Amino acid sequence: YVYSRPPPWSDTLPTIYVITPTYTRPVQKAELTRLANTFLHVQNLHWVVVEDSPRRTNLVSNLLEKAGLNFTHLNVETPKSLKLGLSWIPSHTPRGTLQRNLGLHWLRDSFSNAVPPEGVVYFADDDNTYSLELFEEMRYTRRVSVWPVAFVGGLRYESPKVSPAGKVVGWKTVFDPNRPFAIDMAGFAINIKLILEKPQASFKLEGVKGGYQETSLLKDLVTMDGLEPKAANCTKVLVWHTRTERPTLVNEGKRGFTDPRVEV
Amino acid sequence: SRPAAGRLPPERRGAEAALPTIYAITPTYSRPVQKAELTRLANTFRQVAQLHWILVEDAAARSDLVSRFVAAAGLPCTHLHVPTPRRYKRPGLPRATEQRNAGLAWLRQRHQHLPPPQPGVLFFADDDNTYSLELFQEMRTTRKVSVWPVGLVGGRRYERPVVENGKVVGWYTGWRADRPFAIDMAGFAVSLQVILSHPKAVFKRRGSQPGMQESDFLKQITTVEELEPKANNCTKVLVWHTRTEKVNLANEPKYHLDTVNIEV
Repeated sequence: YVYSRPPPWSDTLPTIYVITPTYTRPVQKAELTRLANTFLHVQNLHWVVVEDSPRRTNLVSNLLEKAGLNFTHLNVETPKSLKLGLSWIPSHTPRGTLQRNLGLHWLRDSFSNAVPPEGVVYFADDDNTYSLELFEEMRYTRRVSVWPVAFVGGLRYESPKVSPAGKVVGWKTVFDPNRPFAIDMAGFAINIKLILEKPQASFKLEGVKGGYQETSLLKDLVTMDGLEPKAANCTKVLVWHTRTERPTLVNEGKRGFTDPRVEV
Repeated sequence: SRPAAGRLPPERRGAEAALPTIYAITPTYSRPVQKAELTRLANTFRQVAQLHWILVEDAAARSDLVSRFVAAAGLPCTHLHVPTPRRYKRPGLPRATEQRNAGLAWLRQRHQHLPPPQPGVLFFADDDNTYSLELFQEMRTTRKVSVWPVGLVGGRRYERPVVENGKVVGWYTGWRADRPFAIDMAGFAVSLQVILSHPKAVFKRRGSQPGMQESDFLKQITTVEELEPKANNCTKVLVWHTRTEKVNLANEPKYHLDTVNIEV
């Protein structure tokens, strides 16, 4: 029998809405598989998978159907001009932006601000690594919670700076620590009420300097002193910004060697 | 103890205990992403009933990191260690030989006085690969040696055994298809009884050529004729040879800047 199922849904536990942008490439199915294997442990998790594609692909549809998780499957294609950074403003649109915004849009469409659900929103890229402990840390976020992230900014980890009183007072980063929110996408979660209360808050598409994408959203939701430090006052690493090597497919040749009907 | 088991009704728990144990032998070594890799691997393995993890460090002594990790891992785990001799640590030489052999030795020692046939299956699970849950269902019924495709290896989308009439007749591989067993470490499982019946079968150092480890090992314990094809006659990819990028730690200070010592 298939052993794995998520834990039974609870009526009292806040739901964790995980928004994952994803795109087609050889390691995609592997990444989503090991992500699903992690999420299957987490109670009341709703996975919002947003493909960067003109249509929802069979690969992702089938994976989500079989995984056994609660999910929503969306798609929006990043226009080529944005992908290549050809917008008239000389900066790039970071990847995943349109997809994350669509996830936020879906939440706002699905839930009313008048009767908001109990829940928290988290942006989980498909190549990062997440401990199970992280989800329990974020579950009871009142407004916006934060924690350290490994392997970002050229460091073993970046972390919010937490005062003895338990308030975030700055950022322990080498790269531009004076950003309003010098934190990686994987380092914060937002109470869904806040998302619904502030429908204009989303990731800025253009004119975003490198490293400011997170700020472009968070500045409309919270101030630094409103942040809730998690992970033992930000002294534990519970999420790692891992990246997967691009596989060398040298033996596929120009026209492809392997049978394309065999899905990898 | 495994929290997952507590969710199962009593009749399922009994059925779970009757399954042949799957032994996963994982060599591991210290580097920045080690804890992340072990974490996401554990998240997968914890979804599999009756899986016993044999973790073998390439180290002269058990490390604190892995010891702490094992203590909290949430599944049955045996923590071994054996250092690779310096002379074998050259590029081009096979890796993890001593560690895999240590895993085999532990299994042999543990079962040597028990009467055959001993149920159980073992496979070699490198800590950066990605495993679908379906793979474990497939390998659990291994009678002697079973085989299946592996994604993203050999410079191809996948490699696989070629199967005709339920028997392996050749190898679909990007590299040296003339090997007796042209298969990746992630592409086979061996019944415990076969390992016990061939007490001298180990991964070799002397006289071994690079790239021949799997073949040299398998020819000590089986024949191509005997192999059991899994994954729908070797047409489905259920495991991927993913590799994780080396992390950029360019911004780590030469002298300790942080006031706390945080494990990543």
